[in-house]
Amino acid sequence: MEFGREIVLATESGTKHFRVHPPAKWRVFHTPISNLLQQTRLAAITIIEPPASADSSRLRSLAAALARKGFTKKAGSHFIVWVTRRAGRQRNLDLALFRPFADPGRVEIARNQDDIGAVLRLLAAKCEVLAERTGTPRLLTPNWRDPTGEARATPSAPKRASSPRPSALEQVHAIIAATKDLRTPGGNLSAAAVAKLFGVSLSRLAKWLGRTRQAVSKAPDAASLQGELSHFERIARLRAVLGNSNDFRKWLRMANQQLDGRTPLQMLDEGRWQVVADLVDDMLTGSPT
Amino acid sequence: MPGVADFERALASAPTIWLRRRLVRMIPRDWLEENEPPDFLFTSGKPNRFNPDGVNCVYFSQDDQTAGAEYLSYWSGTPAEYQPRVTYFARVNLHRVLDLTQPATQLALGFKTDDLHQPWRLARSATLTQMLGAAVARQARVSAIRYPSDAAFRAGDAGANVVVFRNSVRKPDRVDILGPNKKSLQSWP
Repeated sequence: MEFGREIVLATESGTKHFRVHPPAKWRVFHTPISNLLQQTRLAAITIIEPPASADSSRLRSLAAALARKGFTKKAGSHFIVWVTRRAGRQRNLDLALFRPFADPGRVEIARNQDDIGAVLRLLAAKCEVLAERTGTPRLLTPNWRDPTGEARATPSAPKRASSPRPSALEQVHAIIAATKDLRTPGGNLSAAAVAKLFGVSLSRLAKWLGRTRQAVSKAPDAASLQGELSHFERIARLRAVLGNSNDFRKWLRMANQQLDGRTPLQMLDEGRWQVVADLVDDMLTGSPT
Repeated sequence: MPGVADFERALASAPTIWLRRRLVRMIPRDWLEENEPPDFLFTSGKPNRFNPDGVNCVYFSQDDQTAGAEYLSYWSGTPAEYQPRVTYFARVNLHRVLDLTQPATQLALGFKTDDLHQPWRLARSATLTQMLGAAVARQARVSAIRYPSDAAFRAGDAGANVVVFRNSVRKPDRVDILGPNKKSLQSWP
């Protein structure tokens, strides 16, 4: 039986968080909390670790926002794990974290590293059993896509997911390091850095993103852009092999046999980012076609 | 054009072969670190020639030469064309594999040779080969497809690739990614 053994760890960008060691055969994806609120598809287990500085009202409003998104309400076996280091008046806080959800039975709270490991082991087992009971081979989201939902596509552009699909290269240090310069010190991807690397104007990139140049220029690393910019980060991973940025820009402008003779840049102009991201993934992993 | 359900019916009686051999994949060496190999059995449901979006499977070439042709189909003409490469191996033992390199199998499924080389990356809807893959993923009799490599075909060779469908691999069938001393690094089922 196959189902999506996926755990999403949502944290505030740039804050310190606990390490998550997934049970065997499970994978962990990391995303900012702001992106989590944009997603429409749920991973089997979502871990939310707000910053230690978050006060009770912030936690309550976050719980309410997640509940409104339908967490624990939708059919299936989706679980939430809150991670909070807060001590004292815990009962009230616990109530606040459970109360907004339609099914509090699918919400857990962990307070330290050991708690997280124990809770994950139990939830993973629960997920397996629930999948067996329903006999649904794809009970859990099989292809969790970072923050999901369809992007605001221009009329001529095809619909696309706001973040690329997961890749086999997610955990490979050298690949991730190849795109480090696209991120700000806070950890967010920067549209300005992407435009520079891809050799396109900020206006052109803004058009791709369905935003105005002014908006992108004002906040090039805005949380709302992160999902869409992730596609470009995926494509930029090619620099792990091509080495320098000039060669990467040349590749973007070369007719490509895999794209029926069109250039990757033409595909980006048409909004077919995932096609190019998939191509790069296939190139790096040597997947035959 | 036949649909997924038509293929599913045809699969019940289509001729199959027993595939027990080593398969190959070639990747650029630059990013590979010895202690950090990628997860080659990771499946994201990414579309490919024999699977539409959402169908989980992995692809290999049947020999080094074909893997080399596949590699060049990506990197030819780039500065990375002549960089060092690394070969990965998978050992498969699959009892029922559709062999589309055989005319009899093509005939049984209504395929013409041209159908096997149709472009798929930019297709707006599922191609014929992708629909066959979707049908294979929905049943358990057949677990893989062997098909002519388009890259080898363009290079004037007759190499083949194999696509293995995650949901259809059941014991005693097996797929292993080989590490040093033929040790299994990962396996299905």
